[in-house]
Amino acid sequence: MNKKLLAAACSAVLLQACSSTPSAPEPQAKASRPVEMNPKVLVENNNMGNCLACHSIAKEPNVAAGNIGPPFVAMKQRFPDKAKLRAIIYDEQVNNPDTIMPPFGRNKVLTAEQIDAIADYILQF
Amino acid sequence: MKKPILFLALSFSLSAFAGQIVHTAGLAADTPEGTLAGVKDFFQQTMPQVKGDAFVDGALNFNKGAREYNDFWEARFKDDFDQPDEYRKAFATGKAMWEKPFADGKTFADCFPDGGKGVAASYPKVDASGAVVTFEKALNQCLEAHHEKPLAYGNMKTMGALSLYARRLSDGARIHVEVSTPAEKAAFERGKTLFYTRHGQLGMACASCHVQQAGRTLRTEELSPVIGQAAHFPVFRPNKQTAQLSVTTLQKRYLGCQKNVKVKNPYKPGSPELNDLEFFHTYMSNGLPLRSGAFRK
Repeated sequence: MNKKLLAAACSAVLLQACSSTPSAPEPQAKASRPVEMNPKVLVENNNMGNCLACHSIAKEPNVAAGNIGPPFVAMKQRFPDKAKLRAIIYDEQVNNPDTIMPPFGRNKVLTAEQIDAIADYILQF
Repeated sequence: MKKPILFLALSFSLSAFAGQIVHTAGLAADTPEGTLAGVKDFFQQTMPQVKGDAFVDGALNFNKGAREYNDFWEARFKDDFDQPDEYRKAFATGKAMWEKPFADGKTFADCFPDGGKGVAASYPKVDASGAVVTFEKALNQCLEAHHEKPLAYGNMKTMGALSLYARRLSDGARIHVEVSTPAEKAAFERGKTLFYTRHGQLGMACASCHVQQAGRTLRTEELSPVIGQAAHFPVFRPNKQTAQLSVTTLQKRYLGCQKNVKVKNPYKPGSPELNDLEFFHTYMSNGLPLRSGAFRK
C-alpha cells in the first residue's frame, strides 16, 4: 500500500515536471526578450506605439495612417523642447483631460527609453 | 470593518486603468432624451451628411471603398447561387433551433408575442429586479422556462446563429427601448457611465471613438458613430486572412473592443455590465430600423 502511494506520488511529481516543462521557458523567454527599441517599429506596430493609427507622417503619404491626431509635420519647429513632446506621449491627459491619446508612459504601454526613441524619431518629420 | 477595507482594495485594483470619465457630447445631459439629443446635435456638426436611417450604415458613410466592399458582400448574401456557405449555414442553424420543439412540445415562438415577429425591437428591457434583459437573455429565459439548457452568450455557433435568425424576424422594425421607470433610468445611467468611462491599458472610453472621434480614420478604418451601431447585429465579419465569415453578436463585439484597448479582465458576453451597456447603447439607436445579419469588416 505504502509502495503504491509512493509510486503514485512519484508519478504525480514526474507528471507535473513533464507538464510544466514545455510551458516553463515561455515566461522566461518573455522576461528576457529585449525591449523593442527600433523607433520605426515602435511608431508603426499596433502593439507598440501604434502612432500611425491616429497620426500621419506628411513626408510618407503612402503609409496607411489615421487622421485623429495632428500629423507629424514641422515637428522641430512645433517642439523646440523635446521634453514637451515626450510628456505628450507619456500622458497627454495632463494637458488635455478628455484626449483620446493613450497615456503610453503612465499606463506602461511603453518604457521611458522607448518614448525617448519615438520622440527622437518623429522629430525628424 | 473588514468589508469596507476589502471593497476599497477591490475598487482600487479594478480602477487601475479605468475610472476617468471622458467629457464629450451627451455626457452632461441628465435624461436619456437629453443624452441622445446631445449626441445627435454633435453629429449634426461633425457628420452633417449622415441623416436618419443612414446611421445604421455606420462607418460606410465615410468611405466609398468600404461601402463598395460591403455592397459586394451583401449582394452575395442575397444571391441564391453565390450565397456564402457560412451565411447560409448560420441562418439554417438559427432557423432549426428556433423551430425545433422543446421536450414539452413548445417552441421559442410560444415564448414571445406574435410568434417573435417584431419583438426584438423593444429589447433590452429591465425586469422587476432592476436587471437588464437583452433579447439573447430572453431567448435563454425561454429555454429555462421550458426546462432546456441555456446557451452560452459567447458561443456564436449556437447563441450567435439563434440570435441572427430570431432578430431577423424583426427586420425593419424600429427600435423602441423604453426608459421611463426608476429602474430603467438606473440601468440607463449604469450603461451610460460604462460608455463614457476610460477602460484598459490604452485608457479609452467607448465615447472616445464612437462619439468624440466618430467619422475620423483610425489607420485604415473609419470610426462608426454610436447612433445606429446596435441596429444591425449580429453581423457577419470576414477573417482577415481567409475571408471566411463568422457571426458576431453585439456583446461579442464588445469583447473585441475591450481587447483593442487592452482591457486585462474584460467583461464577458452576458455579464450584467455588458447588459447595462447594451441597454444604453440600444437606446441610442431608438427609432432606427433593425437589420440582423449585416456584413461588417
